[in-house]
Amino acid sequence: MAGVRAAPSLASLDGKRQPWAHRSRVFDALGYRFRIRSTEAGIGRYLEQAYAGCLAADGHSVSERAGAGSHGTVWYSVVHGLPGPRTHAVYVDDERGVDAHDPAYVLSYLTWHINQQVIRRGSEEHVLVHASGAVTDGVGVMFPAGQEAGKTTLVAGLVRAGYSYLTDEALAVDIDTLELLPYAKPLSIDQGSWSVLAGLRPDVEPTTFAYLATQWQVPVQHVRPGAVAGPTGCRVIVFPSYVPDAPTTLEPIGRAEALATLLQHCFRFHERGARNFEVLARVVAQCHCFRLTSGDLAQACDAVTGVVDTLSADPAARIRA
Amino acid sequence: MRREPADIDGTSAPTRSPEVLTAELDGEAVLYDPRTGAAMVLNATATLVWRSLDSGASLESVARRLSQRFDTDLDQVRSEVVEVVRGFGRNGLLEGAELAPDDGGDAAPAGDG
Repeated sequence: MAGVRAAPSLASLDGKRQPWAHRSRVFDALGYRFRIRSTEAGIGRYLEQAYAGCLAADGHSVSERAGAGSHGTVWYSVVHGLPGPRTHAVYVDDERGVDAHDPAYVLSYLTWHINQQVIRRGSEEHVLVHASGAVTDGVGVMFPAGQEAGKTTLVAGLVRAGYSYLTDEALAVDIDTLELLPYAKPLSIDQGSWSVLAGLRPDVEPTTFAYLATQWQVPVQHVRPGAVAGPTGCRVIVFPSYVPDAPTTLEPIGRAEALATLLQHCFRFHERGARNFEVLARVVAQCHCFRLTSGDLAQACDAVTGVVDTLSADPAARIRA
Repeated sequence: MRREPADIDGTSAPTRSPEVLTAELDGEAVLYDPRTGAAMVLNATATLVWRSLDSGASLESVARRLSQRFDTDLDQVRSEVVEVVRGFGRNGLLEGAELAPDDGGDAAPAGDG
């Protein structure tokens, strides 16, 4: 099979000696720099596309290997064809992170680990909110919510409708400018949303799809080319809640309530509680805030767009906000 | 002198804990206590009371001001002010006050995503 090489030894991963079928360029997500290499070319190429929105501007590695506490570049190594029942593994630098028979399991570990490190690293310089985010007409919209609330599905629908993409998981706020900063990771689409986002099913060969069989990791450019947003001021905060079969409602909420709720969705809040509180209070002060309940993606997108269009058409509304 | 929240009355002149951070948005305050990680939202009336607690004035005087401002019965306002401030005390928001070990207060914890 094209792109498949002999598997490296699990006992010791010597990256220089392995037959890597694909090595990515350097990604830089909120200051976390990493590269991905794979013994299978298909998944390697796919992951390069998936994280293309995070490509480092300088395109090269500061350091090929991260030491403790350094901000060097971390290597993720996706390995297949291992002897024994656990045929797939992911290494983080030289350390084995996970091994399993199921390639989808090791890929979920890879994306989880990257997220955790991006949040850890990003929280040092920014305020990070458990939220998805999108931009249209210069209006940044934040969707803070916990798991299973529909953050990813909603932002996928909006990007498909023409919005630009900030993130589907961890939204960073610049502590000086209060701008929302992109962390353009692939959209992690769970099985519950596959039917409503069927057009985003990864179009890859079966050996690559096996890595995506439980959660699609969709490159944002596959949703809409050129859709990654730049830093943008936040003007609207919507707390989404997916409720199957529920009618779509978008209700304004007070800023104080919005801030109190937002605090609960801030990553690593207590490590810099005073800074995070002050920054999020300033963000909320410049936003219109809503609570969205919906069981229908199209209606949810329409509701959000209706609010944003009103703001775009009436700049004074932003001032009064 | 440390006082229990239940001891607070009209003669008391409690002050806000300097540790507690306040953000006021559209007349409603959000309080965050970094010591406990708790956050709470005050309604407009409680926000006025909270704001008044940095003047050193007695609660009686605070109640009189609010009663005049809103043209409402002084006894009722005094009672409400004292109850609101006792709530601040129960949540450890006043200087010299500590959260009672068996009282989690009314504040919600701020989250970690």
